[in-house]
Amino acid sequence: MDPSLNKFRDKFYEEANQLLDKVENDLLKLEKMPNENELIESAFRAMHTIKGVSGMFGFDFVCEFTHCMESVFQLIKDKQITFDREIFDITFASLDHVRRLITDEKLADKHNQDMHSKLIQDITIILERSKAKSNNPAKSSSTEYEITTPTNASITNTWHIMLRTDEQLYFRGISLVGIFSELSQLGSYQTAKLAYLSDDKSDTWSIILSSNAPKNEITDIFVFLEENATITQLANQDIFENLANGINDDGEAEQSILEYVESSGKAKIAAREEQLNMRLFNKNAATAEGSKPVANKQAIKRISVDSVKLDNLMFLVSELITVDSQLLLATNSAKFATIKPLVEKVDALSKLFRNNAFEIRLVPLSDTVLRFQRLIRDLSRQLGKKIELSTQGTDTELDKNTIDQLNEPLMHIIRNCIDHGIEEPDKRADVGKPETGMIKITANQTGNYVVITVEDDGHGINCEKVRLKAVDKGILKATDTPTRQEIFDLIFLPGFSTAESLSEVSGRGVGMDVVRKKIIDLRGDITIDSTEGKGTSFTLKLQQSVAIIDSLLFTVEDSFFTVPLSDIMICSQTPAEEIALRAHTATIPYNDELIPFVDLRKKLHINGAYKNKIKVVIIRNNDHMVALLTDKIVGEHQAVLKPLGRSFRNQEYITSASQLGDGNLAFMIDTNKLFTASEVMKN
Amino acid sequence: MTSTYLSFIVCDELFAVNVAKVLEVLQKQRITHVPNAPEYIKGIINFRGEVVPVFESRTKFNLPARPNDDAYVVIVFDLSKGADVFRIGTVVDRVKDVISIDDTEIKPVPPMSKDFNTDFLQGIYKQQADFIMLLNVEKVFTGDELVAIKDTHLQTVE
Repeated sequence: MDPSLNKFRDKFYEEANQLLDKVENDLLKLEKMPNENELIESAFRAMHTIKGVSGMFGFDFVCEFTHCMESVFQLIKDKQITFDREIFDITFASLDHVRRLITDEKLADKHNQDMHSKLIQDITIILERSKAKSNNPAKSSSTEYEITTPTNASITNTWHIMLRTDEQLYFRGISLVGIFSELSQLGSYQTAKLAYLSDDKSDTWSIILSSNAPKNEITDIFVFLEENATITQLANQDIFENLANGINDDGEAEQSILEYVESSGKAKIAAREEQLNMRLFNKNAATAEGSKPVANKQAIKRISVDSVKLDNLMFLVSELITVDSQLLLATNSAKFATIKPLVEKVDALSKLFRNNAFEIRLVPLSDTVLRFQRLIRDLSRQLGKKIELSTQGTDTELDKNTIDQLNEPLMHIIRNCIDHGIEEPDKRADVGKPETGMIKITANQTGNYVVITVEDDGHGINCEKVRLKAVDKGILKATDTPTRQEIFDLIFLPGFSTAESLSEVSGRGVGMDVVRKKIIDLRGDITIDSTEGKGTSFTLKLQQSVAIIDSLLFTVEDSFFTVPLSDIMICSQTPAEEIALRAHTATIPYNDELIPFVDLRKKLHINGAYKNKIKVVIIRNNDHMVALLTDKIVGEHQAVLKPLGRSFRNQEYITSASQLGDGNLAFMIDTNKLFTASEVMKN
Repeated sequence: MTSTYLSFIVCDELFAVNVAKVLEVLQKQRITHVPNAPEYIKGIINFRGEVVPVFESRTKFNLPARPNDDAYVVIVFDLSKGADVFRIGTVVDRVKDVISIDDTEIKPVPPMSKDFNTDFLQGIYKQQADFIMLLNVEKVFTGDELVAIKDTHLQTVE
């Protein structure tokens, strides 16, 4: 294998996974509509592309295996077999296996080996069975591959394409996967590497395509590869059709096509190679004939970028923002009046730049939802339940890092819904609910916050049961009368599980407390609401991006602190005596309400005392409010947050710091923790 | 084998560290005190865009506390292991010199005062009339850090 092709392989990993996602998505839909030809067609094409490209990159096991899967799809396409539960199970398991094969290409893992032979056996059984069934003359599936392009030229031709791949292709950002998926839309094809024409720098491939598409459609695919590809007509018929004696002999068919090419003589191929070289010298002349200018039907709307590059970009942006605030501070005197307009322009631009860089990092939630669909399918089957997933607003975007870290807690919540929430079909029927349960994921955005709700229509949470359990565990006293919300909050305590029996699916003692911890680590918040008999909902509130936050800067003694601007209700001033008077209840009046206050000096062990006029910052989180006592309010600050690192792991209220214009550092107060702390104080 | 060392002074005592671990020496660096932090952590600094904790060498070695208005410099060490990036700073009185020391010239640590913490010493080097205490930087800092790292592991196992 040409070493430069290793770069292609990285791209292959990525694109193959995308294709597998697509097949998975199609299959999930097919389960509901097993006769939808378009879906079968689309899944088949994606499989075919994976097969073709994996073969080119030397992923022999992937190629062999997808070939088997493809055979099954072929039979389904030809209506010789129909999807049943068993086939779905096997194809889903096969998809997972292909994913594993891509990372374990040499099939080194023992577990994967076993899986590999087991699945191949399963697939062979399906194939054998259909063969037995279809041994009647009715087998007249004429064209092997249904062709979806407009059939104005209904004569099927066989084309030979010589394609040379080298490093240049990689640098030009050309995707082989893309080329092959376009090819598979035109018709069926086979590929083979021509070893005698390949050297260290390039590989030459022979692709045989049978298609009824006119030549210019084929040349269109290779429009960017003109100097690398030669397209010639081999026959005015579909040689696959002539060679193939049914899909089960496909292996042989492939063999004979290769022989066909080989037998056509090296001389002939060498001549073509010469032609190819001619084109290299003469490429301007070559563009003249046949090929239309780039009328690319699907303009590229998304590009994939290595996330390390994005991280670097974000790092640079945050440094720029820091320098920007230093610059503003340093030029804040009359003697810089002449350059002030320029400084302000730089300031405005860097803020725009910051916002733009943030948007690049945002990823829609829908990318994650596919995995949930699969989870719901597998789990509900395992537990004998019927569950549908519906989503709304999953195009809402979140920072890539947040999405990655959100995956696990969301999975856990959904697992809980399936396992503990939704009842078995007969139980649902007994209480007059539809047999099929519903899990609904809703997402929407308000300001810098994204709210994600996961609801089920299961039996809900029995408050009394939770209360008794808490009493049993010594968390509550038998005489306590907690509110509903307080009872729901108990579920987030470590080791608190309400299921009567622990199941394999969820409730292994690590439960909602871990979920809550993860969400809080993301500077987010999670709440539960439930109506017994109707269902349960989990609401997650997250910040859209977490690296740079508009915040309010204030001081206590000589330390600087910040709080996200979005959390702030109001800033006010209270005489020290009044606070002193209210010290025993630690609450102050605000708008006809008493709200708890936090003495930051006490909480953070800062020396000194508040001056006569205490500046009070009132922050809000959902329905709760807390007042922070501070010395001085400085103003707005764009906090470029840096984690404090593991030396400060024991810090309770501070997890990150940001640099101020003068080089000093300000600590971001974790308001979520303050709220839990004031809750504790209240109880 | 000869290695290069950076020598510095804390409380009139001469110390030296292998320069391979030293990233930068910062003069007049403002250190931000962290509320609720352990005593040996002097604070944090913004170093090349990252928050780096700074330790007080005097507390670490059990030497008399630093008067508030005394001059100091911060030496930033790189104690990363593979992908695990770990940088840490320490406050010393001043840096002195860069010297080459041959391994064979390093003498073992003699018994010292109970009050002085000798666990971090790698050996003693005599330079003319001065005795320089060679520090094992990893040991100086990983003592407390190890606990923190262990904690992190426990967290992930959960």
